[in-house]
Order: sequence, then C-alpha cells, then structure tokens
Amino acid sequence: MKKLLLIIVIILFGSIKGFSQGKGNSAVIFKAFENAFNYSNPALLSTYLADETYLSVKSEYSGYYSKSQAFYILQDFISSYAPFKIKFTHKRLDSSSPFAEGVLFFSLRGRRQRAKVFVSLEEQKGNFVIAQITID
Amino acid sequence: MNSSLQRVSLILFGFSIAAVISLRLFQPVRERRIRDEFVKLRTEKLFQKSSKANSLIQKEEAELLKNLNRIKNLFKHYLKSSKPFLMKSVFNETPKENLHSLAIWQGDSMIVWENNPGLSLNFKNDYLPRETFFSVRPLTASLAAYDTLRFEGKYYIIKLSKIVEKFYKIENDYFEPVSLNEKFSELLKVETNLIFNPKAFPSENKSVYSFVIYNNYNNKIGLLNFEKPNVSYEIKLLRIQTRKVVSVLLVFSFILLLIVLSSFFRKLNGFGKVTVLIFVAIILRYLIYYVNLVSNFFKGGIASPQYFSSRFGGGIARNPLELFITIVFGAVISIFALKYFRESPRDCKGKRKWLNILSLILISAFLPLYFRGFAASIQSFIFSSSLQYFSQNSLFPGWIKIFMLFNLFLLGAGFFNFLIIFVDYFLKSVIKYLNIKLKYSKIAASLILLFSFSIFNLIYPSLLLPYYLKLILLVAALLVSREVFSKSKINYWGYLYLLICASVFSLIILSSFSGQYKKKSLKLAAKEMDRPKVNLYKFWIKQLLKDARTNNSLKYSFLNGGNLNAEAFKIWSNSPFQKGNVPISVSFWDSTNKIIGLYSYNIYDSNNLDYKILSKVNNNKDTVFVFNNSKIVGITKNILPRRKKLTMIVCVNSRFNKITEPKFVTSRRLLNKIRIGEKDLFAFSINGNKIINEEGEFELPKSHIKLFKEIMKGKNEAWTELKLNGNSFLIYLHGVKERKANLIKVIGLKESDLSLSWFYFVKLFFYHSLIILLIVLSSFIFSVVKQRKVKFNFRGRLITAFLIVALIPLIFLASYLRSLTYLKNSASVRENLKEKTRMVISYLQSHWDETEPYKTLRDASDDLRINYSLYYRNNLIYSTLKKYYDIDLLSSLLNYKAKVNIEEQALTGTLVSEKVEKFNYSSFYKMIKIQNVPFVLEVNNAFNQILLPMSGSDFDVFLFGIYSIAVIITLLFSALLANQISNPIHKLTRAALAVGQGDLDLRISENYFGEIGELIKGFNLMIERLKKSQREITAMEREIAWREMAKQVAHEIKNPLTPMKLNVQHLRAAFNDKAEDFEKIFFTVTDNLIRQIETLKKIATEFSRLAKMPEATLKELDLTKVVREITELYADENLELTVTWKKPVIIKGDEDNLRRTLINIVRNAIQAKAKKIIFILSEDEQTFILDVKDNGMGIESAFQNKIFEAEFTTKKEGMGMGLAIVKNILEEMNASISLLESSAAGTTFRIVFPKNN
Repeated sequence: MKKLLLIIVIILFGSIKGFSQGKGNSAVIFKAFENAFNYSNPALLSTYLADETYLSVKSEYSGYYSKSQAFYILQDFISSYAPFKIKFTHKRLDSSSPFAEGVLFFSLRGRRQRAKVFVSLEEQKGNFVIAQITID
Repeated sequence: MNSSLQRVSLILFGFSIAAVISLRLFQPVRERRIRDEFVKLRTEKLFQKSSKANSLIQKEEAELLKNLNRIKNLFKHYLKSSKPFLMKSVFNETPKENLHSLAIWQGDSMIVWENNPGLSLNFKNDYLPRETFFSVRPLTASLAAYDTLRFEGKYYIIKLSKIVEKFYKIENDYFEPVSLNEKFSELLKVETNLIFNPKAFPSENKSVYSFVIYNNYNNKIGLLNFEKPNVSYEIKLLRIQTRKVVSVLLVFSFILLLIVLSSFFRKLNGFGKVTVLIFVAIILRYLIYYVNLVSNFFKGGIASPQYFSSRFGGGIARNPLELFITIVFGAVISIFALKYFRESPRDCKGKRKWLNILSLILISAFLPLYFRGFAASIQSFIFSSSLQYFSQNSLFPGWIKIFMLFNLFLLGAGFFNFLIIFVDYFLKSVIKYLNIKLKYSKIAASLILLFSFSIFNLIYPSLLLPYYLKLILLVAALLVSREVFSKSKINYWGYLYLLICASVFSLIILSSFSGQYKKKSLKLAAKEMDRPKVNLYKFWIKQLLKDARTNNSLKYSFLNGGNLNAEAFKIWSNSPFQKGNVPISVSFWDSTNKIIGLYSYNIYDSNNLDYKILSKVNNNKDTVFVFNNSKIVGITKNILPRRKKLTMIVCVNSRFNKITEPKFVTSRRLLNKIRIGEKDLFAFSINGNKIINEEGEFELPKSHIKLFKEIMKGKNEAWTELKLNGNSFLIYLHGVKERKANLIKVIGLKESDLSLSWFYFVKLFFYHSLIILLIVLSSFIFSVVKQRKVKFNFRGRLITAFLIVALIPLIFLASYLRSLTYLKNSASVRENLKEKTRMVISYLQSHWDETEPYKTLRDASDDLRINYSLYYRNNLIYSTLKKYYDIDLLSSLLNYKAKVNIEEQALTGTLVSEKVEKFNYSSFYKMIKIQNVPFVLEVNNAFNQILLPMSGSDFDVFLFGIYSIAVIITLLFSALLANQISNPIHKLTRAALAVGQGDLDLRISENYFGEIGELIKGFNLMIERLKKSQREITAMEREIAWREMAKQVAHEIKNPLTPMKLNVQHLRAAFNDKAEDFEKIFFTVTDNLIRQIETLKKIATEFSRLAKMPEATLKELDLTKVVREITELYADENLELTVTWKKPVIIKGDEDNLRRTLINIVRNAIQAKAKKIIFILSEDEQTFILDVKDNGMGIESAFQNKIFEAEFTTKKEGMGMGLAIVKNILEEMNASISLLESSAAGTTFRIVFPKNN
C-alpha cells in the first residue's frame, strides 16, 4: 500500500513538474530574450530558436531563416543598432502559442530610438521554441 | 633583395606592434581628453557638420540650376528655330531622370509638363527666378527653381523640380528610394530630421541642434535637426575606430611576421612547406575572425548573414564574405599542395612496405568522409542561405548570387585539387607493387582504388550523396590526375579539365540539394500560411493607432484640408503590413462619420464594416476587435484631443489570399523567399466537401477530396504526387483545426520540367565558365609578361579560329532573335491594349446614360473587366483604379507625349511608354467622343494583365538553353577538329627537331590520309634516304681518308729509302773495290742509315698520332637542361619520360656529344618497346650518378657484357657502333657508362660524371 502511494506521489509530482516546466519554459524563453538584448548577448537565445524561424527585422530582413542564420542576423542587428533596453509590455504564457509584445530601445548614430518587438513561440518536440520575431 | 625585404618587414612589424600597444595604452588618455575638452570638441564638430550639410545642399542646388539652364537654352533654341512640334522636341531632350519634373507656362497656361507627381499644378510666385526652394506634396518633397524667358512678345516660365525625399517606401524591386534626410544622416554620421518648411522653428530640445538650411539667395527654406554630439557617443565612435585600426594592424603584423620568417620556410621541403602553410592559414584565418576584421568594415550585401551563414568552425563562415575568405585559404593550400606534389613525385623506394599499405588503407577510408564533407559544404549553400539558384528566370542573377557562385567554384576547385593528389598517390603506390606492364598496372590500380573506396563507403555510407555520383566523381578524378601528373611539362589542358570538373560536379550536387529543399520549402509555405498572425497584427494595429496621435503630417493635412488619402497610403507603406503583403485598409473619418481619407490594399470589404461599432468605442482608448478569428479592426477616435474630431480605422485580414494589386505596390512575396515561384504553387483548404482556393491559378477537381481524405486517415501530415493540367505536382497535406472545424490544407508545388532545369544548370555553369575563362586569360597574360613573347601554338590558333567563325554568328543570331521577340511582344501588347480600348469605347457609346455617367463608366469596367482612365481637357475625370491618382502616386494630368501625339499629330491612338518608380508599362491613349464631347481614353498593362505567347524571360530561358547546347557542341567539335589537324603537324615538328639533333632512327606512324599522309610518308622516306646517304658518305669518306693516308705514308717513306739504298750500294762498292778508307766509308754509311731509320721512325710515330680521334672540347654544361631537352624531344612519342630532379647540375663535357649519347640510349629503349623512361639523379662527394631506367624488353644476359663492343649488334639493321661510340664520348668527358641491370621488366644504364670541382 505504502509503495503504491509512493508511486502515485512520484507520478503526480512528475506530471506537475512536467506541466509547470512546460508553462515555465515560455517564461524562461522570454526572459532569455530580454537578457539577450539588455546585455547584447545573442548567444543566450541560440538554444531557443526554431529550426526555421520567421524574422522580420526593420526593413532589412523578412522571411524564414535557419537557426544559424537567425542567430547571426540577431547578432548583426545587435552590433549595428546597439540595443540597450527591452521592455515587454504584454505577455501571454498560457496558450498553445505564447507571445510577448513590447518596445526595444536602441541607439543609432547617437540618437536614441525605439522599435516595436513581437515574439511568439511554438511547440516543437515537447518544448517551446521561438517561432517568430518581429522588430519594426 | 629577399633579406632587405625581411629587414623592412621586421621594422614594420615592430612599428605595428608598437602602434597596437600604444593605441590600447593611450585609449583611456584619449577618452579622458574627449571628456575634458568636450565643449571645444563639440563646437568644432558642429561646425564641421554644418559645413558638410551646407556643401550637400549647395551641390544639389548647383546641379538643379545647371539643368534648368540647359533646358532654358534648349527651349530658346527651339523657339528661335520655329520648328514644328518644338515643345515635343524640348520635352524629349530634357534629362531623362525619373526624379525630375518639368513645367513650362506661357502666360497662365501650362504648355509643357512631364507627368510626375512631384509637379505642382499651380505656379506660385513666392520666390525669385533662379532661387531654389522646397516644394512639398503629399508623398514627396522636391527641390525646385524656375526661370523666365521672353520671346516674340510672349512670356514663358520654366520650372524644374527634383524629388529629394519620398515619404513612403515599398519593399519591392520597383521602388526607388530617395531621401535627402538619409543622405544627411550618412554624411554627418548622425540621425537627422529634415523639415522642408521655411517657417519651421528650431527645436526646443537642448540636446538637439537645428541647422537652418538657406538657399542660394540666403533665404531660409528648411531646417535640419540632429542630436548634438554627446560625450558617450563620441567615445563610442573613438572605440569603434580604434577597434578597426587595431584589427587591421594585428592582421598586418602577422603577415609581416610571416615575411620575416619566410627564409626558414624556403629551406623546407615540399611536404614541410604544405604543413607549415596549413598551420599558418588556420592561425591567420582565426585571427581575422577573432578581431572581426570583416564585420568592422563591411555591413550588408555580401557581409549579410541572410545570404549565407553557418556555425561551422565557430562562425568563420557567418556571411558570404567570411565564407569567401575561408574558402580562399583552403584553395591556396590546395594549389600549393598540388604544385609540390607535381614537382616532387613520390619515389617510394626505401620506404617500409607496411607504411605504404597503411597509407593506402587510410586514403581509401578517408575518401568517403572527404566526399561527405564536400557534400555537406555545398548543402549549406542551399539550407543555410536565403538565395535561390534554381528558380529565377532572368539571365542576370544579381551580384550576391554571382559572388556565392564564385565561392562554390573555389570550393569545388579546392576539393578537386586535393582529390587528385590522393588519387595519384594511391595509384603510384599501388603500381610500384604491380609487376605488370604500365598500361595494365594503371587500370588495375584504378580498379583497386574504386573497390577499396566502395568497401569503406559500405561501412559508413552517407546519404548526402548517392553512391553512383561518388563513383563518377572518383573516375573523373582518376582521368584528370592522369592529365595533370603524367607529363613532365605542365599540361594546361589537365588544369582546364580540373576546373571544368570542379564546376560541373559542384553544380550537380547543388542542384540535387536544391531539389531536396523544395520539399522543405513546401512545408515552410504551409507553415507560413498557417502562421498565427492575429496576435501579431493586433499588436501592430495598436502601434499604428498610437503612432497616429503623434503624426504631425496627418494632423497638419487634416487641419489644412490636405490629402488624407495620401496620409493613409504613407501610414500603410511605412507599416510592417506593407512588406508582409497583408490585406489592409487605413481610413479616416470626420465627426459626422463620413470617410475623408482611405487607402486599401488587397481588401475589398472594409466598407462593409458595421459602423455601429464606432459607438462602442471609447473616445479615449484605442480599441481592437477581432471578427471570425481573421478580420481585425482597430479604431481610435483620439488623434486630435481637444480639437476637431478625427477617427482612424485600420482593417486587416489575417487570412492568406491572392494579390490583385498592381506590381509596383506589391511587396516581394514571402513565398518567393521560401523559393517557390507564384506560378508553380497552389494551395487549397478542404472543409468537409468544400474546396477553398487560397493560392494559385489551378482548379482542384472535387474527385480529389476523397483521395486526400484517404491519404490523411490517421495522420497529421502526408506527402503525395498529383498530375494536374498536364503538370506533375508534389503535394503536402496537413491537418489544421480552425474554429472547431477539421480542415485539410493542401499545398502543391509544380515539378520543374527538363528544359527549365537545364536552363538553370546552364545559366550557373555559364557564370562558372566566365570564371574559368578569366583564369585562363590571366595565365595567358602572365606567361606572356614572364616570357616576353606570345606563345600561341598552331592548335590554339585553330581552335580560336573555329570558335570565332562559329560563335560570332550564333551570338548575332541570338541577339537578333531576342530583339525580334521583344518587338513582337511590344506589338502584341499594343494590339491587346487597342482591342481593350475598342471594347470600352463601344460599351460607353452604346450604354451611355446622361443622367448617371459615372455609373456607366463603372459598369463598363465591371462588365468588361477592363481597368481604364478617362481624361477631359488634360485632366483625369475617371479611373477604375483612381486611388493611385488620389494619393498622388500617379499624376492626374494627361501624359504630355500622348497629348502632343493626339492633338498635334492628329493620331487617333498612340502607345506611350510610362513609368512609375522603376516599373515600366505601356499605355494606349485614344481620342474618343461621347455625345460629341471629346475625351481621351487610356488603357495600360499596369492595371490590366496581358498574357504574351512567350514573355521576355521565358524566351531568355528557351534561347539560353538552346544556345548553350550549341556552344558546347561547337567547343567540342572545334577541339576535336583542331586536334586532328594539328596533331600530325606537331609530330612532324618534333621529328624534324629530333633529326636536327642527330636522331635518324625515328619514324612517324603513317595513319593519316590525304596531304598530311603524303607529307608524313615523304618525311619518313627522306629520313630513310638521309640515313642511307649518311652511311654511304661515311664509308666513302673513310675510304678516301685511308687512301690519302696510304699515299701520304708511301710518299714519306720513299724519301728516306732512296738515300738508304744509295748508301748501301756505296758500301758494297767500297767492299768490292777493297777501298783503303773502307772503315771510314763503313762508319759514314752506317751513320747515314741510322739517321734515315730515325727519320722513318719519326714518320711512323706522326702517322700513328694522326690516326687517333680528335680531342673533344670540354665546357661547363647543365646536365638537367640537356636531359629536359631530350624529354621534350620525345614528348609526343607514346612514351612517359620522367625527370626526378629539378635543380641544375653542372658538369664538364661536350653538350652536343652528350645529347647524342642520351638520344642513343633513349632510342635503344624505344626500340626495346619501352613505354616509360625515368632519369634518376643521385650524387656522392665526387660524382653525379645518372641512372636511365626503362621498362623495355631488356637485354639477354648472354649479350650483356658485349654491348659496348664496336660492331656488336642484335638488330637486323645497324652497324653496332652506337653504344661503343657512346662509351667513347663519355670517356672523353672523363665519365663512364655501365649496364646496371637488365631483365624482362626493363634496363638501367648508369652514367657517372665527375663533379666539376
């Protein structure tokens, strides 16, 4: 009996953890996204990019890019636009397609500017990955 | 010279390192200086920026005024000449720049205009003649000036404007961006804000500097605002500059260090050099990557990661330029390795057998991995790049694609270089152990290589390349290596084959991966269609509504009765909806809920919006509604708080639908970027038994619904193939849940037909051929410069002549056909437009309703499905696509050229070429009368699709494909014919040279016919007779010589014999007479006799000395040079001659005799059926040892010790003096010759020369 109870507890615990992990995963990704731009370190994002990510970055990039392309495009953007702060004004985590929207502050040729940022995730092999990034 | 270069390099290296250290050390000092002296620095910088801004505006003004002057002079000229149609002539001769617009008034009437929206309709006199000013319209701002002219009592005003700023942008290939603001930003290296209003006030923001723009008359015409230099930005700029300089210095220092250490490098052997080169290349490459040399100086274009990026090597190929640098390093190493391997062929003697076998196994095992690496590299050209190589019909693919094709070519060339080295090493190592004839041993070794490769390929197969392709690659490498390594002299044809193979195989592999990517593209297209967009669009709409509240241009237009349609268009064009081709409408409403401004793109039901929802919208809040999970409406009433009420509504449709807008406002389709052309794609949704067409022109029969449902049973996605309208399609099916309904989404892609696939392949190969041609030309020029003469042999001249004769007419014919097609297409367009015009006229004239004229005009368009425009007194009064005129993108004035043609030339109809942005189209204008009122009707092919039997690009595909086949066939036949003609001439030339060197034993094979055959026969006969007469002459000369000598001897001997006889006779007489002085006579006579005998002895000695051979004259000569001359002499025989050393070897001897010696030995080897002769040099302290080794039949052991004897021969012909003479010649040179070994496998002669100490 005790063994059975223990097994049930373990199973329940594992499910809850798995569920919360799935839920927490999207929050972790959005946090990683914020850190990548706040600290100008796109490597923080590289593990969360989908195999084919939709990117729309200013007027320069628009389309689906492989993981490595997406990584280097973001790296290129960060080095050119020198973003120093990103603020997500709205996040929706509890959905099959979580998303976050906000504002990115950057400095271009000495002048501080802002751009709209939208990030959405999709599920791939049981985990969330970044499917879409728009910075306009 | 080398040591002085090294000294200079060392000094420069020291300076570079010192510079790097000092830059780093003094960086904080420089930053502190900026901080301390910032006020002064800021003033200087502001002054510099102001001067630059001034210069730019003055330059623009000067150009405008210069053009205005020119136009005025031209106009004056035509007025004076009173030529008919002078207005047209003046108009035709204005500068053909899209951005300029011209207007000429005579009094108050505009008599000349160029149809461009930049033109102001009403002439305002706010400025003086030739004074520049900004003229602002809804979508553009122009720099303008006018001038006046009086002629024959008439007063003319000439106004010229040039667009300097476009307030909208469209992401497509037709849009021509113009921004003076951007020019200022680039020039001043700071973000600027250009205000085209002379009444604008300077900014109140203390961090912003307002530069007043004055015109040439010193009047204010605008304002340029930009951020004042700030400390942190200046320091950031300084750090960026320092980083750039340091990166260059570090790389430069490393290169200098290499130059300093180059003497050590030169001492290494070839293998050592290649090894060091590899290490140096890796270090240098990583240094370039580490200091970010490329990204410090290049942005965008070939340095953009979207065109290529890979994580390979930690990012040393993160964009096309980095990839190029990496590949160039690899290619250089491969060229060096090839050069070394070619010049130092392996002599495996002395190496351990087990080491050899191990290396062969390793090569066989390595080759499959090597192919895999090559395939994976090419795969990344497709999968890690957004470039499409096999889907664009235009001939010119763009510079970035050409750059990537160049990278592909270099990659292929480097791969092939190393491959032929591995292959050749393998073959030579195996052949050494095969004790069979050379020809068969090569084939056997090749088969062993293919077999062992196949074994290892089975052990670890790679799915990247099919097995048969790898085999073909290997066989090609075997053939190419034979050409490259077989001959002692550089065989340029071998290198050409290498380059061609590198190109062809890399393109074949690229094509196969492109085919694989199509499946992925289809899935991506499906993904794109299903991409959740509602939340994203809601977000964008909210931002648009928010931005509208700070849109000064919108507010100004609204408050001053401006063009709100244009404002709506600008908002749309600057939004992310534009580049995504999203169906959208942007509209403005006044307080009475009346629409006062609208622009819609690909959306037609926005007007069906139930405006009752407006009442539900809070005045102070932006509200977004979503209908049916696809239609999103955003509303804000709050644009001008506390002032007149202005409501903005944005309507977006998130469903993927067909685009029906003209091309000049359509962005590049995302599907195009996923490498699918529009014509090749279709998409349907199946909901129950209903089919909804989402994309493409195809109709899906209902019978397929059941089939697809069957395929999708129990699956979420599936692949299948389908034949539709005679074309094969690859179909991707996937299940989607939309609003509780289970849909099957069907997306299909047309398989490329053979002709198109061939066109794509040939197009890419064409560009590779250009690269190969460039390399060939560069080598040719280099050799001409080096040798200071043009070496263009007979075969080369023949090939060039054939190609010129064949290709030039082909080129002319191709361009003629192309022009003809374009002309026919233009005629077809004209006829089509004429027909449409006729249909519209007929409809209007028969259906005209005076009470509702606009209804008739609308009905004509709806019923006939033709878009047209109508003009009355040069002004547009109706157009089916009026929105483009309303927003001021197209001019509402009648096209001036059309006006002149119709009015002045009284043409009933005229076809005119027009342009919007960079989009060219044709318009047909026709004068019509409706109810006796004259109008001008216009129909164009920008708003009406006209299908041509063969479009320009389709024709290019067809022409290029056919002509490429013709060119290849021409090349092949030219080479074959040239070879056939030049081969016998070449053989004759070589034979004549050999005869000149004294070799009379050679014969040319008589396999030729015609005159060449006769010539060769004659040549062989000539050699035969020459040899015979030489023998006869030699025999005769010998006989004459001996007779002369005998005569001489007889004569000389006779002289002393006579006195000897007389003395003996005198002695006898004295004895018989018993003379008293007999004793005295006896001694006198004997003395005389002894003297005469001495004389005879002297004569005999002299004659004996005469019979000896003359002494040879010994001079210093280069043995290597003589040996190489011999190998060149026999280069065309079916014989492989190898010289195993390269350095000069100086000995003392007679060059001609030595040459004769070696010719004799080579000739003997040829007669012994040898196919291969190797000259091997070795040396010891005192001597040079030359071994001449052949693989002929050998000498029988019974005869081996007699071969150097005079008159010994085993041949049917010959005197047997050859080797005897050779021995004599060498002995004269203090050298020796011996037979080292001889067997059925071959013979080796050893010649030993003393060193020239």
